[in-house]
Amino acid sequence: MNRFILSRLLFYIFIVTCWIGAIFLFLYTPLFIDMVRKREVINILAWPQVLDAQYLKDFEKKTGIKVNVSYFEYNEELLAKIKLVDQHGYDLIMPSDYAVKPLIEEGLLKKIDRTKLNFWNQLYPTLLGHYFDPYNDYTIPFYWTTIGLGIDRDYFNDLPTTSWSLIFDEQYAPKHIAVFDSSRELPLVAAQYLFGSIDGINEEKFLAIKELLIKQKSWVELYTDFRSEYILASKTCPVAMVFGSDLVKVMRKFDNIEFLIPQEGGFILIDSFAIPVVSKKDEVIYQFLNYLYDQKVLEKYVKKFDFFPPTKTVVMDGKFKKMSVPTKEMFNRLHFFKSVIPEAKLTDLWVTVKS
Amino acid sequence: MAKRITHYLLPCFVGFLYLFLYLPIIVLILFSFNKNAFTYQWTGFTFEWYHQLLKSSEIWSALHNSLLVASISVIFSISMGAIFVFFGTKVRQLLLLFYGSLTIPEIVLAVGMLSFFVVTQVPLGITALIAGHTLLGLGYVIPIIYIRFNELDTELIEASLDLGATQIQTFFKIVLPWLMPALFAASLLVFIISFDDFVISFFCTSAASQTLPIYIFSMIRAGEMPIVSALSAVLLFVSSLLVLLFSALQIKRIGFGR
Amino acid sequence: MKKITAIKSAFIREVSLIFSVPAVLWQILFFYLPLFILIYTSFFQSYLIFFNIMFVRVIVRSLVLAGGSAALCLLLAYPVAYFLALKVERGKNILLFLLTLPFWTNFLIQIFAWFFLLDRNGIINILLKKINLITEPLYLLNNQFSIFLVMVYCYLPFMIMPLYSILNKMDIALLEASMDLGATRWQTFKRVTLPLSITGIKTGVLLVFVPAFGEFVIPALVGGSKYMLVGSLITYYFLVVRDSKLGAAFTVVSGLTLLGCVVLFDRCCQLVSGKRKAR
Repeated sequence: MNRFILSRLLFYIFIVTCWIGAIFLFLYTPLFIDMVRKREVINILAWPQVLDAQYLKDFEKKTGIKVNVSYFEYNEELLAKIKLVDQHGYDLIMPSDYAVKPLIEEGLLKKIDRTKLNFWNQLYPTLLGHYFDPYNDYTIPFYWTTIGLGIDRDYFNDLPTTSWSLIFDEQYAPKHIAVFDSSRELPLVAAQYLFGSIDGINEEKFLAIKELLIKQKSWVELYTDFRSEYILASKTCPVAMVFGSDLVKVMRKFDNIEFLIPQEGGFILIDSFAIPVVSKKDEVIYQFLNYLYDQKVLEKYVKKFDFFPPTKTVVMDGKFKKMSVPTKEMFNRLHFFKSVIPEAKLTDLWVTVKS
Repeated sequence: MAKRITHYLLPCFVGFLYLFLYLPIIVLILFSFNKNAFTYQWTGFTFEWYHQLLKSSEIWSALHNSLLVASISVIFSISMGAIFVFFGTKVRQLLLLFYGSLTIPEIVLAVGMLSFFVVTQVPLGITALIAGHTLLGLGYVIPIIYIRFNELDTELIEASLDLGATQIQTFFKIVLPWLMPALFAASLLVFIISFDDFVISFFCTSAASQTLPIYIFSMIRAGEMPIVSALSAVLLFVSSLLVLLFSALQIKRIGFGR
Repeated sequence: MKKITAIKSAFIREVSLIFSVPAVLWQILFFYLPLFILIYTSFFQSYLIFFNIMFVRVIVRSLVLAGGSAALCLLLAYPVAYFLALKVERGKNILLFLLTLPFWTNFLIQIFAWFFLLDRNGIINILLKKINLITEPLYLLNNQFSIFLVMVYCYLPFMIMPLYSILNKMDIALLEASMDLGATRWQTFKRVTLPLSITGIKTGVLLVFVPAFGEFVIPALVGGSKYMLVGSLITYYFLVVRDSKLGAAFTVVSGLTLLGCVVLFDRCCQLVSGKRKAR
């Protein structure tokens, strides 16, 4: 009798194990597909709407190399995905400036061989040599933008001030404004406004930032990273925190909208290409990069997306020239979003402000 | 007096409610033909956005992903569900296991699954989505099929078994045809739920293999209105057809009696 | 004969269990196990953190949103369900069909459609301006009003369905009898219709309350991302901060709160219907 029960039990366990095996086989399928694919393609991890599928197709046609683009929405996501590097095998990634340093420190990036790139001298020197990669051993700047204020001139006949107080000070701020929905960026902007610098933020300063943001909430219409241009165009808010490059497409259509880098200083964001250390496809990667930075290709990008070009060979037209050429004097007034405040504090701050 | 109020007030109220339900949708469809991309003022009639819709490779790939995930989820949940209902419900308690997934907010399901996938290092993407949608599907399929199954005369099954058919033969020749309407209704339901699903997809896909709702969400967040309105209009049209189909089948079934 | 059927039913039981393995296994792997992992992960996070007023505010705000939406949906849905179930003879199918159509519309499309109406440049403001009711466009979006409005819009069908189905099954003869016995329409409603539809009300409220508690999409899109709710916080912790311990712990806390509220609601319903029975 005991043997009977035992054999039945074993039988059940066998069936269950088979099914578990089948299910997990199914779940791990993408890994197998990746392993097969690896040999013929370049895998890129990029911000959405920065690399256009159409141009990648052109590259494929020209060279026969297939390019796969995956997207990520937060740099933390990039860091997480890169750590799983063995399984995913990305050949090219596009971290933002503040994400580069941790990547270099953890030894996840490969040094770039500049001799293989034919556009290095065309890059704006002001975009190179920044705090996160002083000799640009690991990164090549591709996408850059300034952060400032978008202003609706129909509302402000005379700008009362050219300072961040347009969004932070009760006296000057209109009743409805739009700011970034970002726990990293907004507090640093507040710090710049309050103290003129984002360095040396101690407990006292941190509390002041917190207070300011809580106070500011009463005249914030909405928090958004990407919709600010439309908000200005549709006249929902007369002032909004914007990315300069995003504002261009709206500025083309509406004359009343202007871009302003406030007097305390604006901010800058640089997204660069970097090569993960595990990638073994150097030849094709450099081929791809040379293709991407080629003057004609970049020009198409700039025209289509209203991009700030990273190289001197492409220039934006008319009134946007000033906005999109990174001069030394412009950079003097711009700051990076450095990771000066510990994550945990930022999280707490953000939750407090939002609730 | 009270009679007069309810006689006129109630229909009016119901009428307003129907208007409330349909107004946004109608406005959306109208404005998908608007030339203006930035504000909501009407500047002219155009098919431009529909053209862009057809050209956008991202939308096609998102559509492809959504369809793939939905179809496979339907296949998995229907087959597993039907087999379970026939074979497994002799042990009544097992049925209770499946009522959980619908009684919890979907976000809890989603983060749970995300944690599970991270712990087991399962790659997120289409397969993970299929797993999640199938789970949701099971929660709908099993009750629906079970109810229909209960209406089947158990004597028919016993008779078939007594006459020498094996379990499997009985299943295919007697039970399955009887369950067909329920299976069809359940498949349609699971397909639509999987296709429209947002929360689970949002957590388990991490922007690499997008489904259509995720793509729509990121477009809305980015403020890209016109293409989304065109896409919405198309989706509305398709779902109306599906609902029509579904209702017609229901009426047909009731019409033929049981 | 009896012995043969005994063996046969034992065999049937055997095969049953084997074939039910896939479905049960799937449910365990992707539902129970993840929940277990969530709860397990949450224990690595000190729960003391949540004794902060901030988190209480977030949870209370979600409860208010969910409860308010459920209440509003109930108020709006009941007359419609009543009308459809009891007052309409012809055209019932068509009206029902028209009702189910918005239900099958994609959730995001339903939300997106409201932008066209509520925006400062949207239809409502344009119309109001045209008939000179207002001079400056109203701020209808990015506030509590728009959140509740869109919540009710999206969840209304979930309330109408169960109410309709229970009211449809009601025997009109009961209502007629009550009126014949001298009760007014209102008394009939209060004493006959309402109690008999309690189960429908219960189902509808739960169908709205539970998902609405975890809702984060509507406040993010229509509320200008200004309000942190349970769903938004969970999303923030898991996807932006990537701290699964904190996220799991908070999920458990809010899950328990939700469970508590549902049980409370159930008790209340029992009390109400129990009271009536006692009479």
